Amino acid sequence: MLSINNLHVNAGGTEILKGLNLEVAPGEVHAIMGPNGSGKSTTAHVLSGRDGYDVTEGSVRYFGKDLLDLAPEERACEGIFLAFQYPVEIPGVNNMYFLRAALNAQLKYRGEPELDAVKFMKLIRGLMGELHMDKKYLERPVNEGFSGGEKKRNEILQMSVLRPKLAILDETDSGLDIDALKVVADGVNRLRSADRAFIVVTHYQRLLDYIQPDHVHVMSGGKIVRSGDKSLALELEDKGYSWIESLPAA
Amino acid sequence: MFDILQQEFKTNRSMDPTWLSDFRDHNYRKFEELGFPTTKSETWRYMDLNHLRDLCYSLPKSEVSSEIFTSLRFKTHKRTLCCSFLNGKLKTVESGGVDLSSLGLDAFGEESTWLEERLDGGDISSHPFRALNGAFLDHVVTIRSESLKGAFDEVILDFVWTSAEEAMIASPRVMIEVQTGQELQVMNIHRGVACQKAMVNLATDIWVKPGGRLNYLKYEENQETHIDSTRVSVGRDGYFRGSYYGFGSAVSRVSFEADLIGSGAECFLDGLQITSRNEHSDFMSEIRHMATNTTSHEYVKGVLGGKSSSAFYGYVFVDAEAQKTDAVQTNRNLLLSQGAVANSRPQLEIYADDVKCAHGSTVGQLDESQVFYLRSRGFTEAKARAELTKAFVAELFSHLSNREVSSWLMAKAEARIAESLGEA
Repeated sequence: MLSINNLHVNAGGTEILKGLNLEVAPGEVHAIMGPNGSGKSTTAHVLSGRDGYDVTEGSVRYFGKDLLDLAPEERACEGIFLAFQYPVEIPGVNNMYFLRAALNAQLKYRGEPELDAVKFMKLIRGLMGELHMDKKYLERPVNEGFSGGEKKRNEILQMSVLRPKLAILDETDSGLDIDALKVVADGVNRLRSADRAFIVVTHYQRLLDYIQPDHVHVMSGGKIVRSGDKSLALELEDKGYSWIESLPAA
Repeated sequence: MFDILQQEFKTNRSMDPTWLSDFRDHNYRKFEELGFPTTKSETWRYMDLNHLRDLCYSLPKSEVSSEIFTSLRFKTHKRTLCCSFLNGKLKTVESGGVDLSSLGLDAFGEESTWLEERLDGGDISSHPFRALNGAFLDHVVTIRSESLKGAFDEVILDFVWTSAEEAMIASPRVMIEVQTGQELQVMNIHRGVACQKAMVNLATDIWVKPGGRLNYLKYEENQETHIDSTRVSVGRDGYFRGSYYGFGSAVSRVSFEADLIGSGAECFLDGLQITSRNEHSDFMSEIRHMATNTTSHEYVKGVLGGKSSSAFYGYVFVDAEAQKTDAVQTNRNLLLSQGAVANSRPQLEIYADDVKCAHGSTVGQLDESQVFYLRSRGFTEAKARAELTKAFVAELFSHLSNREVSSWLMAKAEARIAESLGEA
């Protein structure tokens, strides 16, 4: 479904990605690990269409389309979802309104019938129960005054509502205690299916105890330097990132 | 420039009482002396009034096609008095079946003494537009809680102005008095329909007597020039809440002066101006704390698109006698385009030593990380920007108790925002 080929990306005049290659097929869970500054978050941002990045070389194909040609909202409507490392607070926009408007925008794009308020409430109540979220979060402005854990749950709630084809989780585990981590991981695991893929960007192996990846990639210096199965994550945990930096490029 | 008009006006009003003719003459002479303000004046620095000069003005014509006239219909309760005016002339009244003749709404009739006393009391020495309003004073709407005799607690004034061909000058005056211990809501709405040539020069005088409470809403849209000079006096433990919405006259100016003359008097003032194209909008406030334990909270926001501009002048004066004053003044502006300009000048002058006073002002643009967040969920860029702009203004409607009115205003705001964003 996703094919990243020799991707080079500049940000602020500095080359961050230096020839990234990655193939993701439906149903797979890929973990991307790596030290700070290795280009993990940049990869997530570029895939979701964030401004401020300049692709200088390479391509990204998504279901045969040139992903880099699509606006962020088109990518979202085509089924790409980014769970933010730092979810943005939006004062004055009600969370429930936001969720429903987002879902209906995507349904409309795909030519499917939009959900009315009653049907939406039914859907959202069930999902919030699964994520142990109080319904008061629906009445509040998007992420405003939410704790770090609540913001991350809200990201997973959005993902559960929007049911993307490709979900990219950008350090969703950062700042979470172990209970919140389990809730978030359960939310992800419930959505795992044969036609949905995940890219889980993380700094630590811990999250991967709960979300079992099919493939683990290690980034360093703007490219993937090693790929393997989940045992690679354990090896990395054991040997530390300095081990990676001593390896020759893959 | 008004000489011929004034002669014509005087001839037509020759039957009016002497005190009223004298009042008009006095105001006319004052206006001649002062003239239109220029940008050399500190509080008119950003407002170019050259388009008003050297025009051949006419008075509002009340005999215009009523096709343009659709009065506002709010679902109101039976204690609401709804009056609609076309070019200043009363067209329809909805009074829930209450006999209006006993309520003293005819300004120049039984109210004459009351009016004479109130009109004479107003200082016009540095207020050319007030003087001009007085010079052509014609239709006066007086709303006195006492005269309403408990039959109404809400009054809606819906003024529709129209003049597409001639340079019209309209001088409406609204006078509101809330008596001790009484409570009133008043909406003062001014809509322009085919109004490319009109200058509406409104003057409003408000007295909130000790312990009285007034919720006042002012709305204005779609005129060539809209000038609003409002004066408020709030007595001991009186409460005034003013909400201003300016949604697009080519040139508009709100000047709001409040005197908190009795201990415990409160003044809450909200304002929202949404501009686009080449429009310019001024908001000037002067709040004077003259007694102990008085409160003023002012919150004014501006949303600017296209090549529009705005200016906020906020002045708070705290008299030496006004200990325990609580004054907060905030002005926030959101620029939707590169060509828009917001000027802001908050100012405090404090002579008492035991007070709590704060002021702040910001000018900024939409937060691009918020725009991206919404887009990453499927909102188009236009929709994301519109939602964030609506969120910026939404709090200025949250205090309105009449939900139908707040929905009406919010819909107006949304349309204006869409227009402003379209020019970004």
